[in-house]
Amino acid sequence: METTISHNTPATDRFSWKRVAMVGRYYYPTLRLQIILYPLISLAVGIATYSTKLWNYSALIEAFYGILSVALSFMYYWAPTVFSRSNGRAIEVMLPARSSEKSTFIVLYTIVGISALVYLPQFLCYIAFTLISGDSSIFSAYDMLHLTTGERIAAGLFSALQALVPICTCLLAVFAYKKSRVAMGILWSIVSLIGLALVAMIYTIIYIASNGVERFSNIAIGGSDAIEQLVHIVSPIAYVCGAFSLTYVLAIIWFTVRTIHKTQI
Amino acid sequence: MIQFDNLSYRYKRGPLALDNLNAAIGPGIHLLLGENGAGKTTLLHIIGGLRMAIPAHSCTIDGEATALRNPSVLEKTFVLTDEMMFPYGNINQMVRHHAPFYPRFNAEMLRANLDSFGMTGLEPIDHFSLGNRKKAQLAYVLALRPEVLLLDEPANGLDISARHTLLQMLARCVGEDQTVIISTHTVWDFQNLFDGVMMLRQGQLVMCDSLWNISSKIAFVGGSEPIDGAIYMQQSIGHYEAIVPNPDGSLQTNIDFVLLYNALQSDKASQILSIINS
Repeated sequence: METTISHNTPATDRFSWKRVAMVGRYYYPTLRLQIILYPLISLAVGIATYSTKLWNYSALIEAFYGILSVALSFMYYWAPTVFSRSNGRAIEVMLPARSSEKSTFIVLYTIVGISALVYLPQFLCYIAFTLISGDSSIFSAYDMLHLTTGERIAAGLFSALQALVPICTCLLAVFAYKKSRVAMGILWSIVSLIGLALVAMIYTIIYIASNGVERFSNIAIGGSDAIEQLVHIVSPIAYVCGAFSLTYVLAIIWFTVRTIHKTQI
Repeated sequence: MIQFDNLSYRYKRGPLALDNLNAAIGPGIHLLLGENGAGKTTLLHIIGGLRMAIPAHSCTIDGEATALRNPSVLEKTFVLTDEMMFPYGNINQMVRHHAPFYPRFNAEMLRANLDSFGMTGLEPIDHFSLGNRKKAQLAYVLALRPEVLLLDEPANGLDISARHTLLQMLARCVGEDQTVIISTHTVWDFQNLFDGVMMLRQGQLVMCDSLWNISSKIAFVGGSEPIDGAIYMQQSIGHYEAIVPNPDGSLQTNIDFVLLYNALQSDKASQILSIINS
Protein backbone atom coordinates (compact mmCIF):
# COMPACT_ATOMS: atom_id res chain seq x y z
CA MET A 1 0.00 0.00 0.00
CA GLU A 2 1.08 3.51 -0.80
CA THR A 3 2.20 5.17 2.41
CA THR A 4 3.52 8.44 1.10
CA ILE A 5 0.73 10.83 0.23
CA SER A 6 1.37 14.30 -1.05
CA HIS A 7 -0.70 16.70 1.03
CA ASN A 8 0.32 19.93 -0.60
CA THR A 9 -3.26 21.11 -0.91
CA PRO A 10 -3.36 24.89 -1.27
CA ALA A 11 -4.13 26.49 2.08
CA THR A 12 -6.60 28.93 0.55
CA ASP A 13 -10.15 28.97 -0.77
CA ARG A 14 -9.17 31.11 -3.74
CA PHE A 15 -8.99 29.61 -7.21
CA SER A 16 -5.90 27.45 -7.51
CA TRP A 17 -4.46 25.84 -10.63
CA LYS A 18 -2.75 23.34 -8.35
CA ARG A 19 -6.18 22.17 -7.23
CA VAL A 20 -7.32 22.06 -10.85
CA ALA A 21 -4.44 19.67 -11.47
CA MET A 22 -5.50 17.63 -8.43
CA VAL A 23 -9.01 17.44 -9.84
CA GLY A 24 -7.45 16.15 -13.04
CA ARG A 25 -5.59 13.55 -11.04
CA TYR A 26 -8.87 12.55 -9.39
CA TYR A 27 -10.53 12.01 -12.77
CA TYR A 28 -7.50 10.40 -14.45
CA PRO A 29 -8.42 6.73 -13.80
CA THR A 30 -11.79 7.35 -15.43
CA LEU A 31 -10.29 9.17 -18.40
CA ARG A 32 -7.28 6.94 -18.91
CA LEU A 33 -8.87 4.52 -21.36
CA GLN A 34 -10.23 7.40 -23.44
CA ILE A 35 -6.84 9.13 -23.47
CA ILE A 36 -5.24 5.95 -24.79
CA LEU A 37 -7.91 4.73 -27.20
CA TYR A 38 -9.07 7.93 -28.86
CA PRO A 39 -5.76 8.90 -30.47
CA LEU A 40 -5.19 5.32 -31.60
CA ILE A 41 -8.61 5.10 -33.21
CA SER A 42 -8.21 8.55 -34.75
CA LEU A 43 -4.81 7.61 -36.13
CA ALA A 44 -6.14 4.38 -37.60
CA VAL A 45 -9.08 6.15 -39.23
CA GLY A 46 -6.80 8.89 -40.52
CA ILE A 47 -4.36 6.44 -42.08
CA ALA A 48 -7.20 4.47 -43.65
CA THR A 49 -8.98 7.54 -45.00
CA TYR A 50 -5.97 9.32 -46.40
CA SER A 51 -4.55 6.16 -47.95
CA THR A 52 -7.79 5.55 -49.87
CA LYS A 53 -7.45 9.02 -51.40
CA LEU A 54 -3.78 8.67 -52.14
CA TRP A 55 -3.94 5.25 -53.79
CA ASN A 56 -7.39 5.63 -55.37
CA TYR A 57 -9.06 2.68 -53.73
CA SER A 58 -12.44 1.66 -55.00
CA ALA A 59 -15.43 3.86 -54.26
CA LEU A 60 -16.86 1.17 -52.01
CA ILE A 61 -13.81 1.12 -49.79
CA GLU A 62 -13.70 4.91 -49.83
CA ALA A 63 -17.34 4.96 -48.69
CA PHE A 64 -16.51 2.53 -45.89
CA TYR A 65 -13.72 4.74 -44.66
CA GLY A 66 -16.05 7.69 -44.98
CA ILE A 67 -18.40 5.96 -42.58
CA LEU A 68 -15.47 5.43 -40.23
CA SER A 69 -14.82 9.17 -40.31
CA VAL A 70 -18.43 9.84 -39.39
CA ALA A 71 -18.10 7.34 -36.55
CA LEU A 72 -15.02 9.20 -35.38
CA SER A 73 -17.02 12.43 -35.33
CA PHE A 74 -19.67 10.88 -33.12
CA MET A 75 -16.97 9.44 -30.90
CA TYR A 76 -15.83 13.03 -30.46
CA TYR A 77 -19.31 14.41 -29.84
CA TRP A 78 -20.12 11.78 -27.21
CA ALA A 79 -16.76 11.79 -25.44
CA PRO A 80 -18.08 13.74 -22.39
CA THR A 81 -20.23 10.74 -21.44
CA VAL A 82 -17.07 9.48 -19.76
CA PHE A 83 -17.99 11.80 -16.87
CA SER A 84 -21.31 10.03 -16.38
CA ARG A 85 -20.17 7.17 -14.19
CA SER A 86 -22.85 6.66 -11.58
CA ASN A 87 -20.37 5.57 -8.94
CA GLY A 88 -18.81 8.35 -6.99
CA ARG A 89 -21.12 11.28 -7.75
CA ALA A 90 -21.35 12.06 -4.04
CA ILE A 91 -17.58 11.87 -3.80
CA GLU A 92 -17.29 14.34 -6.69
CA VAL A 93 -19.64 16.82 -5.04
CA MET A 94 -17.78 16.56 -1.72
CA LEU A 95 -14.35 16.79 -3.34
CA PRO A 96 -12.49 19.59 -1.56
CA ALA A 97 -12.10 21.88 -4.55
CA ARG A 98 -13.98 24.95 -5.69
CA SER A 99 -16.71 24.26 -8.21
CA SER A 100 -14.88 26.67 -10.53
CA GLU A 101 -11.78 24.47 -10.30
CA LYS A 102 -13.79 21.34 -11.06
CA SER A 103 -15.53 23.12 -13.94
CA THR A 104 -12.24 24.42 -15.32
CA PHE A 105 -10.77 20.98 -15.57
CA ILE A 106 -13.92 19.40 -16.99
CA VAL A 107 -14.48 22.11 -19.62
CA LEU A 108 -10.82 22.34 -20.62
CA TYR A 109 -10.54 18.57 -20.93
CA THR A 110 -13.70 18.45 -23.05
CA ILE A 111 -12.94 21.35 -25.37
CA VAL A 112 -9.15 21.24 -25.59
CA GLY A 113 -8.20 17.77 -24.43
CA ILE A 114 -10.69 15.69 -26.38
CA SER A 115 -10.24 17.88 -29.46
CA ALA A 116 -6.52 17.28 -29.33
CA LEU A 117 -6.96 13.54 -28.77
CA VAL A 118 -9.18 13.23 -31.84
CA TYR A 119 -7.98 15.86 -34.30
CA LEU A 120 -4.26 16.03 -33.65
CA PRO A 121 -3.66 12.51 -35.03
CA GLN A 122 -5.80 13.44 -38.04
CA PHE A 123 -3.71 16.53 -38.63
CA LEU A 124 -0.51 14.52 -38.31
CA CYS A 125 -1.87 12.08 -40.92
CA TYR A 126 -2.64 15.01 -43.23
CA ILE A 127 0.92 16.30 -42.88
CA ALA A 128 2.43 12.86 -43.39
CA PHE A 129 0.38 11.98 -46.46
CA THR A 130 0.93 15.43 -47.97
CA LEU A 131 4.65 14.88 -47.64
CA ILE A 132 4.34 11.40 -49.16
CA SER A 133 2.19 12.51 -52.09
CA GLY A 134 3.63 15.97 -52.59
CA ASP A 135 0.14 17.28 -53.39
CA SER A 136 -2.08 18.45 -50.55
CA SER A 137 -5.08 19.17 -52.79
CA ILE A 138 -5.86 15.44 -52.86
CA PHE A 139 -6.69 15.60 -49.16
CA SER A 140 -7.93 19.11 -48.51
CA ALA A 141 -10.91 20.81 -50.06
CA TYR A 142 -9.40 24.11 -49.01
CA ASP A 143 -6.45 23.52 -51.34
CA MET A 144 -8.71 22.36 -54.12
CA LEU A 145 -10.77 25.53 -53.88
CA HIS A 146 -7.74 27.80 -53.82
CA LEU A 147 -8.86 29.60 -50.68
CA THR A 148 -6.73 32.37 -49.27
CA THR A 149 -4.97 31.89 -45.94
CA GLY A 150 -7.50 34.10 -44.17
CA GLU A 151 -10.39 32.15 -45.69
CA ARG A 152 -8.79 28.86 -44.65
CA ILE A 153 -8.34 30.05 -41.08
CA ALA A 154 -11.91 31.35 -40.93
CA ALA A 155 -13.27 28.14 -42.43
CA GLY A 156 -11.26 26.06 -39.98
CA LEU A 157 -12.42 28.14 -37.02
CA PHE A 158 -16.06 27.95 -38.00
CA SER A 159 -15.76 24.24 -38.57
CA ALA A 160 -14.20 23.81 -35.12
CA LEU A 161 -16.90 25.97 -33.51
CA GLN A 162 -19.66 23.95 -35.11
CA ALA A 163 -18.02 20.72 -33.90
CA LEU A 164 -18.06 22.14 -30.37
CA VAL A 165 -21.85 22.50 -30.39
CA PRO A 166 -22.72 18.80 -29.96
CA ILE A 167 -19.82 18.01 -27.64
CA CYS A 168 -20.64 20.88 -25.27
CA THR A 169 -24.32 19.96 -25.39
CA CYS A 170 -23.44 16.39 -24.46
CA LEU A 171 -21.30 17.68 -21.58
CA LEU A 172 -24.12 19.81 -20.16
CA ALA A 173 -26.62 16.95 -20.40
CA VAL A 174 -24.25 14.56 -18.62
CA PHE A 175 -24.03 16.93 -15.65
CA ALA A 176 -27.61 18.19 -15.70
CA TYR A 177 -29.33 14.82 -15.55
CA LYS A 178 -29.23 12.51 -12.54
CA LYS A 179 -30.41 9.43 -14.40
CA SER A 180 -29.77 8.04 -17.89
CA ARG A 181 -26.90 10.47 -18.22
CA VAL A 182 -25.24 8.69 -21.13
CA ALA A 183 -28.50 8.41 -23.08
CA MET A 184 -29.40 12.06 -22.42
CA GLY A 185 -25.93 13.18 -23.43
CA ILE A 186 -26.20 11.32 -26.73
CA LEU A 187 -29.77 12.42 -27.33
CA TRP A 188 -29.18 16.12 -26.74
CA SER A 189 -26.02 16.18 -28.82
CA ILE A 190 -28.04 14.79 -31.74
CA VAL A 191 -30.72 17.42 -31.09
CA SER A 192 -28.05 20.12 -31.20
CA LEU A 193 -26.78 18.81 -34.55
CA ILE A 194 -30.31 18.94 -35.90
CA GLY A 195 -30.59 22.46 -34.55
CA LEU A 196 -27.42 23.49 -36.32
CA ALA A 197 -28.71 22.03 -39.57
CA LEU A 198 -31.96 23.92 -39.08
CA VAL A 199 -30.06 27.19 -38.70
CA ALA A 200 -28.28 26.52 -42.00
CA MET A 201 -31.56 25.52 -43.61
CA ILE A 202 -33.37 28.64 -42.46
CA TYR A 203 -30.55 30.83 -43.77
CA THR A 204 -30.61 29.01 -47.12
CA ILE A 205 -34.37 29.45 -47.43
CA ILE A 206 -34.04 33.15 -46.67
CA TYR A 207 -31.22 33.44 -49.22
CA ILE A 208 -33.20 31.73 -51.94
CA ALA A 209 -36.26 33.79 -51.12
CA SER A 210 -34.16 36.94 -51.44
CA ASN A 211 -32.06 36.04 -54.50
CA GLY A 212 -34.07 33.46 -56.38
CA VAL A 213 -32.95 30.01 -57.51
CA GLU A 214 -31.48 31.09 -60.86
CA ARG A 215 -27.94 31.35 -59.49
CA PHE A 216 -28.12 27.75 -58.27
CA SER A 217 -29.57 26.62 -61.60
CA ASN A 218 -26.65 28.18 -63.44
CA ILE A 219 -24.20 26.41 -61.16
CA ALA A 220 -26.01 23.13 -61.62
CA ILE A 221 -25.46 23.34 -65.36
CA GLY A 222 -21.77 23.03 -64.65
CA GLY A 223 -18.56 24.68 -65.60
CA SER A 224 -14.96 24.79 -64.49
CA ASP A 225 -15.63 27.29 -61.72
CA ALA A 226 -19.02 25.96 -60.66
CA ILE A 227 -17.82 24.65 -57.32
CA GLU A 228 -16.00 27.84 -56.46
CA GLN A 229 -19.12 29.84 -57.35
CA LEU A 230 -21.20 27.60 -55.12
CA VAL A 231 -18.73 27.92 -52.26
CA HIS A 232 -18.73 31.69 -52.44
CA ILE A 233 -22.51 31.79 -52.51
CA VAL A 234 -22.97 29.53 -49.50
CA SER A 235 -19.93 30.67 -47.50
CA PRO A 236 -22.00 33.29 -45.64
CA ILE A 237 -23.84 30.31 -44.14
CA ALA A 238 -20.56 29.39 -42.50
CA TYR A 239 -20.38 32.85 -40.92
CA VAL A 240 -23.96 32.61 -39.69
CA CYS A 241 -23.49 29.10 -38.32
CA GLY A 242 -20.15 30.10 -36.84
CA ALA A 243 -21.62 33.07 -35.02
CA PHE A 244 -24.54 30.98 -33.80
CA SER A 245 -22.17 28.22 -32.69
CA LEU A 246 -19.91 30.62 -30.78
CA THR A 247 -22.85 32.14 -28.93
CA TYR A 248 -24.33 28.73 -28.25
CA VAL A 249 -21.06 27.20 -27.00
CA LEU A 250 -20.38 30.11 -24.65
CA ALA A 251 -23.91 29.87 -23.24
CA ILE A 252 -23.67 26.10 -22.82
CA ILE A 253 -20.34 26.39 -21.02
CA TRP A 254 -21.87 28.95 -18.66
CA PHE A 255 -24.82 26.64 -17.94
CA THR A 256 -22.45 23.72 -17.42
CA VAL A 257 -20.38 25.64 -14.89
CA ARG A 258 -23.56 26.73 -13.10
CA THR A 259 -24.89 23.16 -13.09
CA ILE A 260 -21.69 21.79 -11.59
CA HIS A 261 -21.80 24.53 -8.95
CA LYS A 262 -25.38 23.77 -7.97
CA THR A 263 -25.27 19.98 -8.12
CA GLN A 264 -27.03 18.33 -5.20
CA ILE A 265 -27.36 14.64 -4.46
CA MET B 1 -18.36 23.00 15.92
CA ILE B 2 -21.38 22.36 13.75
CA GLN B 3 -24.02 25.05 14.09
CA PHE B 4 -27.61 25.13 12.84
CA ASP B 5 -29.33 28.53 12.77
CA ASN B 6 -32.96 28.24 11.69
CA LEU B 7 -31.99 25.51 9.25
CA SER B 8 -34.79 24.44 6.98
CA TYR B 9 -34.75 22.44 3.77
CA ARG B 10 -37.42 21.75 1.22
CA TYR B 11 -36.99 19.38 -1.71
CA LYS B 12 -37.62 20.90 -5.12
CA ARG B 13 -41.39 20.88 -5.54
CA GLY B 14 -41.52 18.55 -2.57
CA PRO B 15 -42.16 18.39 1.15
CA LEU B 16 -40.40 20.36 3.88
CA ALA B 17 -37.73 17.89 4.97
CA LEU B 18 -36.22 19.93 7.80
CA ASP B 19 -38.02 22.60 9.77
CA ASN B 20 -36.21 25.34 11.67
CA LEU B 21 -33.36 23.42 13.29
CA ASN B 22 -31.27 25.20 15.88
CA ALA B 23 -28.37 23.46 17.59
CA ALA B 24 -24.65 23.46 18.24
CA ILE B 25 -22.75 20.17 18.05
CA GLY B 26 -19.26 19.95 19.43
CA PRO B 27 -16.59 17.26 19.22
CA GLY B 28 -17.57 13.73 20.18
CA ILE B 29 -19.55 10.84 18.80
CA HIS B 30 -23.23 11.66 18.47
CA LEU B 31 -26.18 9.43 17.72
CA LEU B 32 -28.78 10.71 15.28
CA LEU B 33 -32.17 9.12 15.80
CA GLY B 34 -35.40 9.54 13.94
CA GLU B 35 -38.19 7.62 12.30
CA ASN B 36 -38.13 6.79 8.60
CA GLY B 37 -38.48 10.00 6.63
CA ALA B 38 -37.64 12.20 9.61
CA GLY B 39 -34.87 13.95 7.68
CA LYS B 40 -31.77 12.25 9.09
CA THR B 41 -30.09 11.58 5.75
CA THR B 42 -31.06 15.03 4.49
CA LEU B 43 -29.46 16.61 7.54
CA LEU B 44 -26.25 14.62 7.05
CA HIS B 45 -26.20 15.63 3.39
CA ILE B 46 -26.54 19.30 4.30
CA ILE B 47 -23.75 19.16 6.87
CA GLY B 48 -21.55 17.33 4.37
CA GLY B 49 -22.23 19.79 1.55
CA LEU B 50 -24.11 17.32 -0.62
CA ARG B 51 -27.18 19.53 -0.35
CA MET B 52 -27.24 23.26 -0.04
CA ALA B 53 -28.87 24.73 3.01
CA ILE B 54 -31.04 27.77 2.44
CA PRO B 55 -30.12 30.31 3.56
CA ALA B 56 -26.50 29.38 3.04
CA HIS B 57 -25.36 30.30 6.55
CA SER B 58 -28.00 28.27 8.35
CA CYS B 59 -25.55 25.37 8.57
CA THR B 60 -21.95 26.17 9.42
CA ILE B 61 -18.83 24.30 10.45
CA ASP B 62 -16.49 26.47 12.53
CA GLY B 63 -18.36 29.51 11.26
CA GLU B 64 -18.10 28.63 7.57
CA ALA B 65 -21.25 27.87 5.63
CA THR B 66 -21.31 24.33 4.25
CA ALA B 67 -23.51 25.47 1.35
CA LEU B 68 -20.66 27.55 -0.07
CA ARG B 69 -18.65 24.34 -0.52
CA ASN B 70 -15.34 26.06 0.05
CA PRO B 71 -12.38 23.66 -0.05
CA SER B 72 -11.44 24.58 3.53
CA VAL B 73 -14.81 23.27 4.75
CA LEU B 74 -15.04 20.29 2.39
CA GLU B 75 -11.66 18.93 3.45
CA LYS B 76 -12.89 18.89 7.04
CA THR B 77 -16.05 16.94 6.23
CA PHE B 78 -17.01 13.56 4.84
CA VAL B 79 -20.37 11.84 4.56
CA LEU B 80 -20.44 8.08 4.13
CA THR B 81 -23.96 7.43 2.94
CA ASP B 82 -25.65 4.09 3.19
CA GLU B 83 -25.28 3.01 -0.41
CA MET B 84 -22.36 5.13 -1.48
CA MET B 85 -20.13 3.79 -4.20
CA PHE B 86 -16.50 4.72 -4.55
CA PRO B 87 -15.37 5.84 -8.00
CA TYR B 88 -12.36 3.53 -8.18
CA GLY B 89 -11.81 -0.19 -8.30
CA ASN B 90 -9.97 -0.54 -5.00
CA ILE B 91 -8.95 1.35 -1.89
CA ASN B 92 -5.37 1.80 -3.08
CA GLN B 93 -6.64 3.89 -5.98
CA MET B 94 -8.70 5.98 -3.54
CA VAL B 95 -5.50 6.59 -1.60
CA ARG B 96 -3.66 7.65 -4.73
CA HIS B 97 -6.29 9.89 -6.32
CA HIS B 98 -8.71 10.98 -3.60
CA ALA B 99 -6.85 11.02 -0.27
CA PRO B 100 -4.49 13.89 -1.31
CA PHE B 101 -7.45 16.24 -0.93
CA TYR B 102 -7.63 15.46 2.79
CA PRO B 103 -4.60 16.75 4.67
CA ARG B 104 -5.32 14.68 7.79
CA PHE B 105 -5.33 11.36 5.97
CA ASN B 106 -3.33 8.73 7.87
CA ALA B 107 -2.01 5.86 5.78
CA GLU B 108 -0.87 3.88 8.83
CA MET B 109 -4.36 4.09 10.27
CA LEU B 110 -5.79 2.86 6.98
CA ARG B 111 -3.45 -0.13 6.95
CA ALA B 112 -4.43 -1.01 10.51
CA ASN B 113 -8.13 -0.61 9.71
CA LEU B 114 -7.90 -2.80 6.63
CA ASP B 115 -5.92 -5.40 8.61
CA SER B 116 -8.71 -5.45 11.19
CA PHE B 117 -11.14 -6.39 8.44
CA GLY B 118 -8.72 -8.83 6.82
CA MET B 119 -8.20 -6.69 3.73
CA THR B 120 -5.17 -5.34 1.87
CA GLY B 121 -6.64 -2.46 -0.12
CA LEU B 122 -6.15 -4.19 -3.46
CA GLU B 123 -9.48 -5.99 -3.40
CA PRO B 124 -11.92 -5.00 -6.17
CA ILE B 125 -14.58 -3.27 -4.09
CA ASP B 126 -16.89 -2.95 -7.11
CA HIS B 127 -17.45 -6.69 -6.99
CA PHE B 128 -17.82 -6.88 -3.23
CA SER B 129 -20.96 -7.75 -1.35
CA LEU B 130 -22.60 -4.87 0.50
CA GLY B 131 -20.98 -5.85 3.78
CA ASN B 132 -17.45 -6.19 2.44
CA ARG B 133 -17.74 -2.98 0.49
CA LYS B 134 -18.91 -1.21 3.64
CA LYS B 135 -15.91 -2.58 5.55
CA ALA B 136 -13.46 -1.23 2.97
CA GLN B 137 -15.24 2.14 2.89
CA LEU B 138 -15.31 2.48 6.67
CA ALA B 139 -11.63 1.57 6.93
CA TYR B 140 -10.86 4.31 4.40
CA VAL B 141 -13.08 7.13 5.67
CA LEU B 142 -11.91 6.68 9.25
CA ALA B 143 -8.34 7.02 8.00
CA LEU B 144 -9.25 10.28 6.21
CA ARG B 145 -9.76 11.68 9.73
CA PRO B 146 -12.01 14.56 8.74
CA GLU B 147 -12.93 16.87 11.58
CA VAL B 148 -16.58 16.15 10.85
CA LEU B 149 -17.42 12.57 9.91
CA LEU B 150 -20.99 11.65 9.12
CA LEU B 151 -21.95 7.99 8.94
CA ASP B 152 -25.36 6.97 7.66
CA GLU B 153 -26.20 3.42 8.80
CA PRO B 154 -22.56 2.34 9.02
CA ALA B 155 -23.39 -1.11 10.37
CA ASN B 156 -25.79 -1.91 7.57
CA GLY B 157 -24.66 -5.13 5.90
CA LEU B 158 -21.94 -5.91 8.44
CA ASP B 159 -21.83 -9.30 10.09
CA ILE B 160 -21.67 -9.67 13.89
CA SER B 161 -17.89 -9.78 14.16
CA ALA B 162 -17.48 -6.90 11.72
CA ARG B 163 -19.80 -4.76 13.83
CA HIS B 164 -17.66 -5.48 16.86
CA THR B 165 -14.54 -4.64 14.85
CA LEU B 166 -16.13 -1.39 13.71
CA LEU B 167 -16.95 -0.46 17.29
CA GLN B 168 -13.32 -0.97 18.28
CA MET B 169 -12.16 0.91 15.21
CA LEU B 170 -14.31 3.92 16.02
CA ALA B 171 -13.03 3.97 19.57
CA ARG B 172 -9.45 3.76 18.31
CA CYS B 173 -9.60 6.14 15.34
CA VAL B 174 -11.87 8.98 16.39
CA GLY B 175 -9.85 11.75 17.94
CA GLU B 176 -10.88 14.19 20.62
CA ASP B 177 -11.10 16.99 18.07
CA GLN B 178 -13.39 15.08 15.73
CA THR B 179 -17.16 15.29 15.52
CA VAL B 180 -18.77 12.06 14.38
CA ILE B 181 -22.50 11.81 13.79
CA ILE B 182 -23.85 8.29 13.36
CA SER B 183 -27.34 7.80 12.03
CA THR B 184 -28.41 4.26 12.81
CA HIS B 185 -31.41 2.22 13.73
CA THR B 186 -29.20 -0.46 15.33
CA VAL B 187 -28.15 1.72 18.27
CA TRP B 188 -27.02 -1.22 20.39
CA ASP B 189 -24.01 -1.70 18.09
CA PHE B 190 -22.41 1.52 19.28
CA GLN B 191 -24.20 2.52 22.41
CA ASN B 192 -21.10 2.59 24.60
CA LEU B 193 -19.45 5.08 22.26
CA PHE B 194 -21.88 7.96 22.18
CA ASP B 195 -21.26 11.28 23.83
CA GLY B 196 -24.47 12.91 22.66
CA VAL B 197 -27.80 12.17 21.03
CA MET B 198 -29.90 14.06 18.51
CA MET B 199 -33.40 13.17 17.54
CA LEU B 200 -35.43 14.28 14.56
CA ARG B 201 -39.18 13.91 14.42
CA GLN B 202 -41.01 14.90 11.26
CA GLY B 203 -38.22 17.24 10.24
CA GLN B 204 -37.88 18.93 13.61
CA LEU B 205 -34.98 18.58 16.00
CA VAL B 206 -36.66 17.57 19.24
CA MET B 207 -33.46 16.75 21.09
CA CYS B 208 -29.79 17.58 20.83
CA ASP B 209 -28.03 16.99 24.10
CA SER B 210 -25.13 15.28 25.79
CA LEU B 211 -25.64 11.90 27.41
CA TRP B 212 -24.25 13.33 30.61
CA ASN B 213 -27.00 15.94 30.78
CA ILE B 214 -29.72 13.47 29.87
CA SER B 215 -28.66 10.88 32.43
CA SER B 216 -28.42 13.57 35.11
CA LYS B 217 -32.11 14.47 34.56
CA ILE B 218 -33.76 11.13 33.80
CA ALA B 219 -33.02 7.50 34.59
CA PHE B 220 -33.76 4.30 32.72
CA VAL B 221 -35.02 1.49 34.92
CA GLY B 222 -36.56 -1.92 34.43
CA GLY B 223 -38.25 -4.70 36.34
CA SER B 224 -40.77 -7.47 36.32
CA GLU B 225 -43.43 -5.20 37.85
CA PRO B 226 -44.80 -1.86 36.62
CA ILE B 227 -42.58 0.96 37.85
CA ASP B 228 -44.05 3.66 40.03
CA GLY B 229 -43.51 7.25 39.09
CA ALA B 230 -42.55 6.42 35.52
CA ILE B 231 -42.91 9.22 33.01
CA TYR B 232 -42.94 6.66 30.23
CA MET B 233 -43.18 2.89 30.47
CA GLN B 234 -43.27 0.06 27.98
CA GLN B 235 -43.71 -3.65 28.43
CA SER B 236 -41.76 -6.27 26.55
CA ILE B 237 -42.28 -10.02 27.11
CA GLY B 238 -43.16 -9.70 30.78
CA HIS B 239 -40.47 -7.12 31.47
CA TYR B 240 -41.16 -3.46 32.18
CA GLU B 241 -38.87 -0.69 31.07
CA ALA B 242 -39.42 2.88 32.16
CA ILE B 243 -38.05 6.38 32.20
CA VAL B 244 -38.22 8.03 35.61
CA PRO B 245 -37.23 11.50 36.75
CA ASN B 246 -33.77 11.81 38.25
CA PRO B 247 -34.03 15.25 39.86
CA ASP B 248 -30.87 15.07 41.99
CA GLY B 249 -28.91 12.96 39.52
CA SER B 250 -28.44 10.23 42.07
CA LEU B 251 -29.59 7.43 39.82
CA GLN B 252 -26.64 6.41 37.66
CA THR B 253 -28.09 4.48 34.75
CA ASN B 254 -26.99 3.86 31.19
CA ILE B 255 -29.17 5.44 28.57
CA ASP B 256 -31.50 3.03 26.84
CA PHE B 257 -31.66 4.60 23.41
CA VAL B 258 -34.48 2.41 22.18
CA LEU B 259 -36.58 3.30 25.20
CA LEU B 260 -35.69 6.97 24.82
CA TYR B 261 -36.60 6.87 21.12
CA ASN B 262 -39.95 5.24 21.80
CA ALA B 263 -40.65 7.72 24.59
CA LEU B 264 -39.90 10.69 22.37
CA GLN B 265 -42.24 9.29 19.74
CA SER B 266 -45.06 9.03 22.28
CA ASP B 267 -47.35 11.62 23.81
CA LYS B 268 -44.96 11.80 26.79
CA ALA B 269 -42.30 13.41 24.64
CA SER B 270 -42.94 16.99 25.70
CA GLN B 271 -42.88 16.01 29.38
CA ILE B 272 -39.57 14.20 29.01
CA LEU B 273 -38.05 17.05 27.02
CA SER B 274 -39.14 19.63 29.55
CA ILE B 275 -37.38 17.64 32.30
CA ILE B 276 -34.21 17.26 30.25
CA ASN B 277 -34.17 20.94 29.31
CA SER B 278 -34.95 22.19 32.79
